[in-house]
Amino acid sequence: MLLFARTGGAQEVPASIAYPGSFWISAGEVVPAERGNVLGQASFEQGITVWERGSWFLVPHVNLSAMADSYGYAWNNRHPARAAVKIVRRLPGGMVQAGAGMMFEPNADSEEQWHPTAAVDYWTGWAAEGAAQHGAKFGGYPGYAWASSGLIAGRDPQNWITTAAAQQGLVVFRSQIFSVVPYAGAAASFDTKRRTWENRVSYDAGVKLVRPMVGGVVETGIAARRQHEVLTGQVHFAPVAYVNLWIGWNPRSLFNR
Amino acid sequence: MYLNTYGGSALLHLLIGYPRLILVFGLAGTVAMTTAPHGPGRYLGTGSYMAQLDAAYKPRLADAAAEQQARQRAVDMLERSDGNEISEAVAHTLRQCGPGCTDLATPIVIEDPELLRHVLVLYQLDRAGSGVRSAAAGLDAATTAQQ
Repeated sequence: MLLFARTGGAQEVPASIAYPGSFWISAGEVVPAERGNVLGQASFEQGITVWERGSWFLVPHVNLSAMADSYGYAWNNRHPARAAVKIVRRLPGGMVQAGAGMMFEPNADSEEQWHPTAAVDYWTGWAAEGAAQHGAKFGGYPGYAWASSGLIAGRDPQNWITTAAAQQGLVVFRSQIFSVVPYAGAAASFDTKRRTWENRVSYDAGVKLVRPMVGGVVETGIAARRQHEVLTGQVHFAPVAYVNLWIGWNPRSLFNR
Repeated sequence: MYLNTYGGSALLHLLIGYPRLILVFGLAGTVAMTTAPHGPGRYLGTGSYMAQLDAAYKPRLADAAAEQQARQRAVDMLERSDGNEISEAVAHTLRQCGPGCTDLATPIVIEDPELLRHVLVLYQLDRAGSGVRSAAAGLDAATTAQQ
């Protein structure tokens, strides 16, 4: 909640309250170890900023997720829900957050449905269009890096899972409607319970079409993905195709003065 | 987690539409008020919040005069065509806009005549803002004393 704030003059910022939220969808054939399996995921989050100071935000929130696949694997067909509180620190070009709460997800092994959840996340992204303008050969060098670590799986509630990914692209064509971005990327995940499917490293070389919009972005792409299963030593290689949509919002309502 | 790394100029274009807020709060102050926990940039709801803020303040003669003067000063800068002056003004404006404008650079703005004109107006509004804020504070104090 932003209370009245002096701005160095006679005017004050009216008190307001913010409701940050986001929605994303990701769909595609993206797991080389499961050739032919189309995986879809969606996640909706809505919070309320109960405190903020500068770049710091305290946000209680609820999160509803759903994932399903065409093969019907149990680990890909889940509907977890989460109620948690997170503290967010915005950084130049990104953010870091830490949160904890409760997750609702049926767990066949223990028959418990509520599990504690906690995670630390870091994300940074860049477009790097300014540097590109000097040579004007490419329209930018967009990329991102993120990492997440925590108790995030209700089906495996004591398993601490850490994932990280980075991607660097190159805008070779840009129009008013979309950009064409060849890219290279890598992702890795590890866990404390040593599950085969949570200990993987993958590398991508691909190309995607990106369409930015106010508050979000939609992209579709194809890539050659090489996936190394760390515990078994198996290596899978396959083309992948995907569609991602992310959109965020942060409406505020003013209090009457 | 998936956040946008494209289209970061949307915030700048939003700021252009609210000259009075820039006068009242300055560029950095206005950007700070739109801060969201997601990351830098413009999100759904940012525009409506700025519209609410703009509507929450009564028009002041001092603001209207300062806004007109800022627009004239931007025109004067364009007519002078002093490369260094314009570059510094654009760089200052982008710095004040901060992480929400990271995909814009001074050369991009300078090569787009329409965007350059808007950015120079923002720059002049930001400069004028501190003066207006001081003057308004003095005027308010005087009015309060008279009452």
